[in-house]
This record gives sequence, structure tokens and C-alpha cells, in this order.
Amino acid sequence: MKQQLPYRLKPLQRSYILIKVVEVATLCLAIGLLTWALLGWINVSDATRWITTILVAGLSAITMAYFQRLFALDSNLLIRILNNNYPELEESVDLLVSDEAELNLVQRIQRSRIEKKFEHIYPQIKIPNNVKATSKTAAALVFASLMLMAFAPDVNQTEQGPLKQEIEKLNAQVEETKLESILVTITPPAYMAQPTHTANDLHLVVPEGSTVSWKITFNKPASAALIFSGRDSVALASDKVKTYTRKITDAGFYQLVWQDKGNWILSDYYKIEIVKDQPPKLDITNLEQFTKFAFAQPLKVEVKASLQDDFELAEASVIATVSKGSGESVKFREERLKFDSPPRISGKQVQAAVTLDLIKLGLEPGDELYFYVEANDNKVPISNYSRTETFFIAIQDTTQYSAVEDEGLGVDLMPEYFRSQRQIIIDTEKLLKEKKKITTQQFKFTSNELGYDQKVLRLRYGQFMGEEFEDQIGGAAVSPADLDKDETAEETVLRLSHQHDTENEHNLVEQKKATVDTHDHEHGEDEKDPLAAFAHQHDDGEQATFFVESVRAKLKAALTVMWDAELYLRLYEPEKSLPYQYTALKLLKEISNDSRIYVHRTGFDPPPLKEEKRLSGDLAEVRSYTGISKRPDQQDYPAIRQAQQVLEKLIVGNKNLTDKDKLVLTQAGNELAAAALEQPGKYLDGLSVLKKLVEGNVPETEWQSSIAVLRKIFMQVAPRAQESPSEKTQAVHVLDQQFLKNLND
Amino acid sequence: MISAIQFNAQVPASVVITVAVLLFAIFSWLEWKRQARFFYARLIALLIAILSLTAFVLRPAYSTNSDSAGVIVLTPGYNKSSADSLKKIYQHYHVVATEQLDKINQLLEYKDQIRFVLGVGLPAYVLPDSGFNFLASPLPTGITQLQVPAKLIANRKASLSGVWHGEPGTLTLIGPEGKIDSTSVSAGSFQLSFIPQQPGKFLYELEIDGKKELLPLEIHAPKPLDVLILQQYPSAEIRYLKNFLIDQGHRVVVRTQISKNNFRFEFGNRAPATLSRITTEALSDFDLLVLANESAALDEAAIKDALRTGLGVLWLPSENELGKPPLGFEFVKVNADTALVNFEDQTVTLSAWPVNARKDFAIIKNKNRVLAGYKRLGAGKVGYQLLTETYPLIAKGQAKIYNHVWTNVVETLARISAQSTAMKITNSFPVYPDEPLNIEVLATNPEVYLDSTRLPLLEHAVIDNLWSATAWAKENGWHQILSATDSVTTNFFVPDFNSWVALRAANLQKATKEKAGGSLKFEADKLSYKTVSPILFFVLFVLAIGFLWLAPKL
Repeated sequence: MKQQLPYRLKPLQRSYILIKVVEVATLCLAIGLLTWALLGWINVSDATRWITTILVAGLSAITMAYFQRLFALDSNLLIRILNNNYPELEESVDLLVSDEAELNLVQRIQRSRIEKKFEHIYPQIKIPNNVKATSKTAAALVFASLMLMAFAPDVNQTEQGPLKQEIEKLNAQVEETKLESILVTITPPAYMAQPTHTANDLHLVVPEGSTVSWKITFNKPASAALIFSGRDSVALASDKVKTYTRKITDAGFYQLVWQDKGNWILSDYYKIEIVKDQPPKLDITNLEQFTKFAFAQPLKVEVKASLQDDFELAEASVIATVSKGSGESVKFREERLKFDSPPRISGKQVQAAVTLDLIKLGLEPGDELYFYVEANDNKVPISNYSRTETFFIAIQDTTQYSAVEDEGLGVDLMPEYFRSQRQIIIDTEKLLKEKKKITTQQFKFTSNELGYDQKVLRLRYGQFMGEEFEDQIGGAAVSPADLDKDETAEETVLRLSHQHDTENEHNLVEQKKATVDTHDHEHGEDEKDPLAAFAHQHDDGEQATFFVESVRAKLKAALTVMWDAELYLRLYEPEKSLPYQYTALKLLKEISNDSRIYVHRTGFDPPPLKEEKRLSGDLAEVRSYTGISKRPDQQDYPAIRQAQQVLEKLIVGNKNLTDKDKLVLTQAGNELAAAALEQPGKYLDGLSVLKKLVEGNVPETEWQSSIAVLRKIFMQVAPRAQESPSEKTQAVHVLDQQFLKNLND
Repeated sequence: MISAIQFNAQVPASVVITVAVLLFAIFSWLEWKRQARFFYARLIALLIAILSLTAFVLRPAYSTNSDSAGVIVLTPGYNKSSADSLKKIYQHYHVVATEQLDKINQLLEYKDQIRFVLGVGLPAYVLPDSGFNFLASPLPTGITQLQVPAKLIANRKASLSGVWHGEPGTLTLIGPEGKIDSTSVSAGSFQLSFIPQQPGKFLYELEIDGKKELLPLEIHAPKPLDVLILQQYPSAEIRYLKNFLIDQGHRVVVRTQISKNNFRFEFGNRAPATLSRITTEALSDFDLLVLANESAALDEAAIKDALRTGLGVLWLPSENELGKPPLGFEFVKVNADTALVNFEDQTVTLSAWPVNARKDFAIIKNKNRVLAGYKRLGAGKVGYQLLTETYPLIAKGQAKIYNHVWTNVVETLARISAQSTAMKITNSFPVYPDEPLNIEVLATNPEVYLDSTRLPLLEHAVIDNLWSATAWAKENGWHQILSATDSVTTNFFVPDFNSWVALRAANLQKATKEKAGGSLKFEADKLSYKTVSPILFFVLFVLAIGFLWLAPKL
């Protein structure tokens, strides 16, 4: 029943539609803006962004229009609105739109009444609307969009900056095939839990084991390749967009080459630096390396450790070794203990703690506990491992003994095979005094002999450090346990005569305590002598445990100065050797005060050599020996040396490179690339300059500085030799030659 | 004889004149017979024609004024007032300023006319041998003298010295590797030292006050030597010496006696060969023979023979030999069995045999005595080393001193190998492009090239095998003189025109002063004649003949 609205209703209808359309339009524009802003957070192309925005806005407009019934507008809607809102019209607005002819009488009467009323209220008629709500919603949406846009990530920004400049630089020399973009994506290995990111520089710094992919876009298909470290070249697919993915395990550099109208365009060299995954850093914070407890103390030790890794710690534990027993029956037991707190080790930095219950571990007086902390990180396939130094905990043996040695018993009946440090000092001083009286030969001989004695002494003490490899010099060490009651008189003399062979021979210092004592026999086999307990431990020298830590350090220092003392004795400079000998003596004295040391007399007395028999043996069967030796191989960089000469030519202003020069420079580049592999940071600049030079791309202004850079780098790469004699040549006139030949005749 | 006009006739003048007179008589008679107009004019035209013809044959030349032959040359830096007063006195002299010439070679035109040279001077080749006066100007600021070692060897300390003329400043030597040495200079001599690192031709720079001069240096790589070491029993000293030589690429043979007839041979950097007998021939392969604890009494004759032909012998004495040294050395006993040896700024104490030798040339010495010395025997040198233990230097980390000591000893004694050609540039540095280079060659039948141009050589009139040549280098930069017969080369550098101005000025002053005569020799001035151009006579002749042809038709 489509009818023509009477003239008063028509403008009402029009304004109603207008209001609705404005509402819908405002809302869908706001929705469109929001969509645009949201898309800003995702990396999409501009076209997609536009299309999506328009689609969303359009769809929402249609939907809203549908629900607002904008598509199904008829006069009834308006009539209903008027009827509902204006009771004065007595629900009879429909009469106004009906055909007058179809109405009955009552209707006609009513119609005329209503018409009058309608005329009357017409100016006050207000069509209901949602303008307020709509504008609020729209305002909220617009604000949200503005915020979204303000904080949107700069997805496209990464392509600007150095990368863009680099591409422009590369395109400068290109005629047809232009580089459009390079996208380098670095994916660190999964265990590092680091996000994939795009590099904004072609010089890459990547974590070890990362996967790097290059996406290179050209404006047209062309053949191209990536050259890694100057030797490993990868041809890329000949599409417009080329991708290549590589797992980076070694540092190096790479270069992009592509073909442009038959010319090969070579990019600069870009370095690839590796950031290595470091092993965990461990530290025990609350303990000294050597701790001693009396048995009475509460035997619990808290071990606090700070653990650190650059990515993630995977596991950590305390390895504790208990050593029990003495002599041959020493026993070791190893236990792996977990940390009490935190129960599971994870994270970059952990403060872990564990309480060692010494009783639970089974320690008794005299026993020792060695422990260290070890940790692994989460690197795959092989995790990085590190450990702390070994810490010592000892429970003091309360059953200590002291020894007294009878003095004056010893008569040195043994030959001087083995001199003490004090004796060596005395002999050295004597030698220096007599230096002027004896011949040089004798002086040197004696000095050398003293050097030998010093060596033997050093080796003897060295044995206690676990330096077992030279123990053929002396006999086996005698432990106090071996000394029993049944020794013969000779044995006693042999044993006691040591006393006069020590550094304290002349009783210059207070007599030290002897290890061998009267209590020895009473304690019998149960005696827990720490020295004896560890005597058979076949450790390496670094960790030998014959002595407590401080003694070990001192003994080590003593051995070091003994080396020096021997060196100068053997260089026939006894005066220089003396200070070292005094230091050695001082250290040995200190050690002897800390702990008893056994030094056994030993040696080999060679029979005297008969001079007249020398070189007189029957050697008929012996054949002459011929040895060949060669100068050690050395990387000599022949092309770099030639290139140096080319550069010198270029300094004088001649800026044209011949083909031969270019060849030489290219070869030098190869040699430099090999050197650069070892130190990319140092020589990579040179490689780039060299490349430019060969291609003739060095601008006038940079010419001098480029040459200077290359000259310097070549000078550094080419190895330096030592001063060496050289053959001299001379052209001599025949007359001069004759003159010289007959001179002195 | 001074006359204004001279004839350079190729036939006797009298004949010519006679013929001319005869011709004139004949033709004037013919003209007179013609009975035409302008008789006198025709007669004059005839006379002119005949005279022109005569002049063709006689070729007259007129002398330029004898005094105007002098030339005053003004070179850069001349004193203006003295130039002006000279010009006033010798008004007819020609004045040439070198600054207005494109090339100095243009002065060659006036070579014999130069009477005065003012300013820095001229290169010798444009100067007359004598007969001119030189008024020298003060030298410009810069390096006025420079001494560079004749041969630089890589990794060996070298020093260059010179004289600086100018305000005090800091002189820096810059090499390819960067700054090397610097010294503060005030007017006077200076010295810079450096260790060239790599062999090759390099352009170092001398910089002062931001002004740089390119200093061309050719660094030579050490050439390996052949060394034979004979020893009766091994010793540490020889072991280290052998290793040192082998490591440096020298070819070494060590023979150690094991028993009476048994030897241990060691060949370093060379193929094994049999060497059971020491003969003169075998020794000719070696540059140096080292006798360590070895008197080599059996082979003394062979060694002495080889010595005469140039072999070097180094004798390392043992204690029992000191009393009665072989090879004619004479030692005096001294007390000290150690010696102080200086190296750069270090002093080390080394043990040495307690003897001294005063007669010999020293290789290493301190203020008290000779520690290594030698004497000549024929073409060769025989020397000794009294330092007994140098190898501890290596153990002490003083390998540099060890290398220096032994480099010195080995190189001094080693054979100087004969080279068939020697070439030398006698000009002093700098020589600019297009300037004559004087090259001296000592060789039997040389064939010498500059870059790739073969040079014509002139043998000395009296001395055999001594040749000389003059060559011109066209461009600045490095050039090479090559002897094609034996590939011996000499490299030299031609600097840019504007470089080394002060040094060049000093050289020029020296050269000019050497040639300038004490007094002026005006009486020796030679007349110079200028031939009258024959074209003039030809034109006259044509005009005259033309008139003679035209006159009857008028």
C-alpha cells in the first residue's frame, strides 16, 4: 500500500532517513578507522590495508543499515513512530495517509480532526534518534584508533636506515637489474628462546648456531649468488625474489653478486660475527677453599653458590668426594648432591644453597671432603659445562702427636750425591770466592755441577707435588709407617743422617719437629698420618694432595725459584743464581715448619772419563748420519707483496689500473680474505677498499685515504722477518780482481 | 779578425765575382743594343739581378754585435737589485728568466753565451764549461742535503741523515705502515732511523709543517748465503747458529766429526751431497766456512786457496788454540773473560776468550778490545769470533741482539759474489722528468735498457769496460735500468717537478759553482754570424728580372 505521503509527513520522513543515515555513516567511518589502526599492528601491504578497511566499513554499514531498516522504509514506520510518541494524534495518523475515498464516515471525521491537531503539533514533532549514543560510540572508537595508531610498532621502519642506504649504494652502478630490498631474518637457536628478528644492517652479529635467511628482491629475474667467506658461493634461484637460508656456525663474511646486463655487480663485503654461548659462571660465595673443623663443631656446612649463564641454566649439582682411611687402604666415595634451594635450577641467575651434613656423609676425624659445584647450560646439542675449583673440608684429627729428634747423632757417612739447598748455597758462595783463582773451565764445570745438584733437589721436592714423571732420579719415598722397631743400626744411620742433609743442617733455625716419633709405635697400624694417607694418590701435579693448600703453594713457589736458580748456575752466572737459592731456602724452611718433608738421598756417580779413549772406539760398523732440515714453512703472501708495489705506483698519481694490476690486486684480495677469516674485524675494511679499487669505484676524494688504508693493512698482513745476513754482490773490474788475488802473496 | 760581413761561399769568391762582372758586361751591352725606353732603369734592374745571383752563391753572413752575445740568466730567487745593476752595465746583454721558459732545456740555445747566472743556479748540462759568473741566492726553506744508505735491507736498522734549512720544526718519517720516526729539527743536520719491514720499492714520506716530500726507498730482501760449518764435536753455540741460519733461509751444511773417519752431516735448505773431502772446488760452492773447534789442518791448503778466490772463513777458537792461533792471527792475553757489547740502547755482558787482537779489522768491538775481527787474504776474508757463548741471549729473550751480532759477523766475512754488470746513476737526487740522466756501466759487453728503450753506450777512451750513457726519463715515478745480458737491474725514482725544491736548489748551486769561472772572459767571446736569408735575394732577383721582361712592353 504504497502511498504518497501528505505534504506535512513528507519532510518528517526525509529528516528521519537523514538522521539514520548520518548515524550509520558516523559509526561505520569510526569502525573503518579502527580497522585501519588495527591493521597497522600487523605487517601488511598498503593495498591490503585499504581493501580490508573499506570492506569492514562497508559491511558494518550494510549491517547497521539493515538493522535500522533503512532498506525497508515505508510510511508505516513513520506512522507508528508518530502514533507511539504523540498521544494527541489518537493513534490515527494512518488516516492521514489513507485514500480519502476509501474511508468511512467516522474515519473521515476523525481524519479531519487529526489533521487539525497534526497541524497544531507539527512544529513540536521530534523524531526519536540515537544521535547522542552514536556520537559517543563513534568518539570512543576514534579515540581507540588514534591510540592504536600512536603506539603501532614501526614495522616498515626497519627497511629504512642503513639497509636502504646500502641498497641505494649498490644500485648506483647498476643499469637494469636493480636491487629492491634485502630482508635478513635471524632466527636464534630454539634453546635460546629469543625471538626471530630482522637485521637492520647487512653486517650481521648473530648468536652461535642461528639460522639466517636472506630474502633478496630484484626488479626483474637475474642470476645472483651469495659468496660466503670468499670461497663458498651459493647460486640463488633466478626468480625476482630469492631466498636463502643458512645455519651460521663460524664467523666470516659474505658478499652478494648479481648479473646486470652481462656485468657482474659485486657488493661490499659484509661481516658475520658470532656471539658465542658462554659456559655458566659459578662461584662458591661463603667458604674458603680450605676449611678445617674440630670434630665437636656442629658438623653441617652450608654451601652457597651463585650460578650465572648468559641464556639459561639447565642443571647444577655438588659433587662431593669423601676420602677415608690411610695408607694403602685409602678409600674414596663420590656423591652427587642436588641443591636444597631452589629445588630446580633454571633461569639466568640462580643463588643456590645446599647444606652438607658431614656426619651423614660419613666423615670421621681425619677424613676429608672434597667438593665442587658443576653446572650445565641449555645449549644444544652439547651443553656448555663448567665447574668451580675443588674446595676442601677436613675434620681435624684430635689424636695428634709431636715428635722430638735426638740431635747430634747423625754422622754423614753417605757421599754427597744429594745436596741440600743450604749446601748448594754454601758451595755457590765458595765458588764465587774462588772464581779468580781457578780457571774458567773449572769455574764453569763447578757451576754446572751445582746446577745439576739443584736439579736433583728440585726433582726430589717435585715428587711431593706429584711430579712423578721424573722420579727415576731418586728412590721410592719412605713413609714413616715403614719405619718399624726392627731396623738395624745401619738403617738407623741411614735414616737419621738425613738430618744433616736438610736445609737446617747447620742449625741456623730452630730444629723442626721430626715426623718420626715415639708415639708412632704405640698407635701402630691405625695411625692416621695425612702424608701417608695420600702418598699413593696418582693425581696430576696440579691437584696432588700430599700437602694442605698453603704448603702446596709454597712448595710450588720453591720449585719455581729452584728452576731459576738452576738456570743461572747452568748459564755460569752463580751470582745471579744466589738470590733464587736464598728464596728457595726460605720457602723450604717455612714448609718444614708446616709439615715434614722426606727427601731421600740418591744419585749416580759416573766413572771418570778417560780422555785418551775418546773417539777411539771401533766404529767400522757405524755409518755416517745425514740429517736434513728445512726452514719452517711460513705463509708468505706473494700476491700481497706484488700488490704493495702496485699501490706504490698508484700513489704517484697514476690512477689507471692495468689488467695486470687488477689481477694482482684480486689475488691479493684472495690472500687478504684468507687472513680476514681469522680476524674479520681487522682486515675486512681493507677487503672492501680493495674491491672498490679493482672495480674503479673509488671516488677522487677518497683515493689517497683508500690507498693509505690498503698500504697499512698489507704491511700488517705480510709477515715480518728477523734481521739476517745477506749475500753482497759487487761488480769488480778485472784489474781489481787480479790485484786482490795477488795481494799478500 | 773582426769583420761585419762574412761570406760562406762554397766556390772561391774571386771566381764568382769575375763571372758576375762578365755577365753584367754582356747583358748591359745587350740591353743597350735593344734601343728601348728606360735604359738606365733597366741597367739598374740588371745590376740587382746579377748581384742577387752572386749573393746566392756567396752566401753572405753578418756578424751580430760582439758584446751583445752575452746572456744574463735569472733563475728563481735572484736578487732584483743586482740584476738591475747588471742590466745597466751590460745593456746589450740578453736577459733570460728561467721562470718564463717552458722548459729549462730551452737554455741550451744560449749555452755558450751565458755570462751571468743569478739565483739558485742551473743544472750542469745547460751551463758552459766555464766563463761565467754566478751570483748565488740564499737557499729556500727545506731539506738541502739528504744521505740515504746505498742499499737498504729489510728488517735491518737503517738511518738517513740530511741538513734542514729553515725554521725549527718537527720532521717526521712516514712509511706505508704509518709514522715511523720523528725528530725536532732546527737549522742544521738531522738523523732519522727506521727498520724497513718489507722488501720492495716503497715511497716513504718526510713531513714537516704539513709539507710532505716523497722519499723513494728500495728495500732489498736478504739474499741467502751458502755456509759450511765444520766442527769436531757438537756445541750449543753452533747448534743455535745453525738453526738461526736455516730459519733465515740460508743454505747450511754442518759436518760434525763422530769418530776418526765418521762424520755426521746435516743439510739445511739444500739437497744432501757428498762432501767427504774439503777441496778448493767444493769450497767454491760456499760463501762462508765456519771452523768450530776444528783446526782443519789437513785441508789448510785447500782452504787457503779458496780464500784467495773470495771465500770467507770464520774461525771459532777453542781454548787450547788461543795460545797458538792458526791462519796467522796474533792474540795478546788480557784479563777479562767477559765483554760488554752495545746494541741500540742496551748493553749486554757476554763471555769472551781473554785475548785481544789489535792488528785486524774489527767487526764487533767495544772500547777495550776487538771481539770479532778479520783480515784480508787475497779476495777473501778470514775472521774470528771471540765471543764464546752468545746463545744464552736467545734464552734470555734477547734474540734481536743475537741476530745482530751474527748477521754482522757472517755478512762481513762472507764471499762477495761477483756480478758481471754494475750500473750507477751519477746525477744526484732529484732528477726531474726529461732531464738527462748520466748512467755509468761497468761490464764487458753491456746491453742496457731504460724501461724498454735500449741506451746507446760510449766506452771510456782509456779504461776498459767502463761505459757511459745519457738517458731521459719521460714521466715521474719509478724507472728501471736493466742490463739485458745478466738481468741486473737498478731502480730509481723520478719525482714531480715541484718536489724537493730546496734539495734541488742546493744541488744546482753546487753544480753551478763548480762550473763558474773565477773571472769573466770577454776576450774569449766568439763572433757569431747570421746568414742573410736567400729568400731576400730571390725576391730581388725575381723583381729585377720581371722589370727587365716588362720594360720593353711598356
